[in-house]
Amino acid sequence: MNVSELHKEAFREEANELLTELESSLLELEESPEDQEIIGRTFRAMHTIKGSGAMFGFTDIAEFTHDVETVFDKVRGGIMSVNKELIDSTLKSCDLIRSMLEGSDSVDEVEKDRLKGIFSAMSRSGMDDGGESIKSSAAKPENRPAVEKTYRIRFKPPQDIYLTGTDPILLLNELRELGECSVIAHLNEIPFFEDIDPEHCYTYWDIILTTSRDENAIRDIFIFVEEDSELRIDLIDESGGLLDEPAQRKLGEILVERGELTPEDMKRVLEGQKRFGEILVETGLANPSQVQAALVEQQQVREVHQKRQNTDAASSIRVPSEKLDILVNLVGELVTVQARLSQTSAMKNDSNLTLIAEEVERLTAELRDNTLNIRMMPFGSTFSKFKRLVRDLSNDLGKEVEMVTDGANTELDKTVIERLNDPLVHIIRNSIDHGIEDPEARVAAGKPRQGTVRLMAEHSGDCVFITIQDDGAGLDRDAIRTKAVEKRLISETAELSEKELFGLIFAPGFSTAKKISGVSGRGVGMDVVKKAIEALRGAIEISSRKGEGTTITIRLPLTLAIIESLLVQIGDDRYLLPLSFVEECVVLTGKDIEEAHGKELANVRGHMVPYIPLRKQFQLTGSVPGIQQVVITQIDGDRIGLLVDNVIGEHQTVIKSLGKAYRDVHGISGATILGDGTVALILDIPQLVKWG
Amino acid sequence: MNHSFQLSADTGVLSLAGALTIEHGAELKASLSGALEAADHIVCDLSGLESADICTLQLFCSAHKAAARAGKTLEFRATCEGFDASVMEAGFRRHVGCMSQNSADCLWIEGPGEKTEVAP
Repeated sequence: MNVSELHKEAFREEANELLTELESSLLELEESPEDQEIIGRTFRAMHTIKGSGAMFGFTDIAEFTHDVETVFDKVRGGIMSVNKELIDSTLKSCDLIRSMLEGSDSVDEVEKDRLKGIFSAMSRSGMDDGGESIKSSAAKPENRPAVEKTYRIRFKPPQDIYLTGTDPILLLNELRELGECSVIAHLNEIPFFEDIDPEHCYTYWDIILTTSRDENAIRDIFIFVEEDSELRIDLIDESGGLLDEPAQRKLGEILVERGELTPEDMKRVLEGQKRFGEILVETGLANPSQVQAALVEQQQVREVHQKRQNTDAASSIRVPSEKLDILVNLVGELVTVQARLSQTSAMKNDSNLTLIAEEVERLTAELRDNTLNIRMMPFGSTFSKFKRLVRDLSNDLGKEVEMVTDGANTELDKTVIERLNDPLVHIIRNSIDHGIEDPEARVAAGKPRQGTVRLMAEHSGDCVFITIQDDGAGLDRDAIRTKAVEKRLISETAELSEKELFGLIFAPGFSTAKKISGVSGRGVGMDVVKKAIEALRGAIEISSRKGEGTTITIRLPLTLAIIESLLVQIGDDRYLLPLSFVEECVVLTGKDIEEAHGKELANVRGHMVPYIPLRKQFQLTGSVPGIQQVVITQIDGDRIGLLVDNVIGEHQTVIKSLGKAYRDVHGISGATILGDGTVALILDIPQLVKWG
Repeated sequence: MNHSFQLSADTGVLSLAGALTIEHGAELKASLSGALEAADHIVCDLSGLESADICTLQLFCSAHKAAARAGKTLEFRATCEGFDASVMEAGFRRHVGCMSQNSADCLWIEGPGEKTEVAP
């Protein structure tokens, strides 16, 4: 990939993130149409997409976004008000921009022209003549006399600004669009001819700009380069009168600023003078404590400003996720090597080596936890997407549905969050399409017109529980049963518990929807959802009460990279069982087997638990020990044992995926390298149980 | 970028045409360098120039400084509207030249003493 393609890819990534932010802001704006902070955030996101789009060659996006940005600029200036049409059209624009990012083939040109027409009309005329306004009292321009301010801007770009795809002249021209502008280029840093790099920028600028716009509008122009540039914006004049601060500036400061007096000369002259506070005290105009208090205030404000600036500067950096994946893989390798070191040191019985091994073990554990922590993302980052889904679906279906979210700060591995998207979309679609009733039906049933879908996330040990709950009609047991019999999933006389009955929903091709809608009801979905959740080593459960609603609970591991597992042995081979499925281990003697009369059942404190003899399952030969172990697991609420020769103990397992050749082997989800360098297979317990 | 260099007596005329951007930076530097070596008085004929970016303007500026240091001269002839607009947009136009040389000799000086002429 060449540099230009890399930049384009970076833009695509950034634009997708911005679009997600934008959607979130728009949904918030719909709730609080007068919130200037949200309006500003929406405008900036649009401005950024436009600006970087133009910069990286996405001219179609830049052109399309221009009118949208203009409209939001008018909203920001109080010229227009927010209404439902604006929110709807902007959300649709987000979808369109996404398709434009993917490539011209996927762009709906008719929709593009339609939206362009809408925004073009809005930007020309203002919208108060059309559409139902959400905002009650938009400020009109005639009521807000423009206050002109003059700014002094020092812009010193990094020398490699051209390599980032930015042309400083374009930035200067954007400034000119804001008002009356004088631009002076400083050329004193341009090197002599033999030293000049023709691709570097050695020029910097002082710009005097008189505009009715605020400092944010100026900063918006430098939004992509501000981080690497020297950018200073000083307000030097407001509404024709000098600002308080410059007016009170001392003569020496003005002379120094103009370069007509050196700071050293000023300091030397001032040292011979009494300080202002001393003069005030001596003349009796202020007492020492008043002066002291003012000085403390001055110092504190200065420190707070400085601290805030430092914090802002160091708050975050942007790293491509591929680099994190490499880091996690390296840490995985390190954990494996560390296990080997610990094992070797234990065998050598060398106290010095043991000390080093223990220290490496401690550091590796810290490094592992910190590295995995970097990959963690708040689950709340997905909420706006699902809120948008609920909004669009309820509009399409003529239902009134509100989405309530909780647990936004619950963190999950980035990959888990990404792979959770499709299953959650399916579940939420089903909730709205089949669960939540029409407003009239809800009122008739004594429910509020508006239905509620709750999306919640919470931590519990090494797992995260995601719950999707609706207050709709609930599952119809009779309909499920009838459909299951019709599909020959169960016999007519089968006696099923509630859980077993609801579990049928996850069967391939199962659907009780009487008609197929564009939203759901094709019978694909819930089986795919279950498979996707199980692929994440998670589990899904469903509970429902007719007339009250349905709750779907998904249990997921925190991370996919390193797991806690139980190391077991069968013959000479060792296997790993993910600890999240393991409940307990019990001993199985020859006598216990005899007492079960040939049935594969273990007596656990008076309860019979079926088990799968893994030796038999894996067709392993060799002698069976007199005392074996049954590892009791819980799958979908059922306790099932796995019979092994020996349980070695808990193990920190770095997951290695199996090659393509082994991808379809049932019951195995991956492998790991043990401390002695041998490979152990990680068992896929839900699949083993199904298979067994 | 199209360019040609013609030497007669001690004057070398470097004719430049097209849009000069960062992509042509290395090529332009080589052309200017050749002209500086070959002649004492260098005239840049910019009548065919469409536009110039910051990198180009910096190269002219640096070449001008190099010429002054070597006791040579470098000046523009017949600039065009596109080039003048680029100079204005970049904020290079000024009343007083840089302090490292004779102020009036600066490439970017405007006003009555302006040395450039605009091509028709």
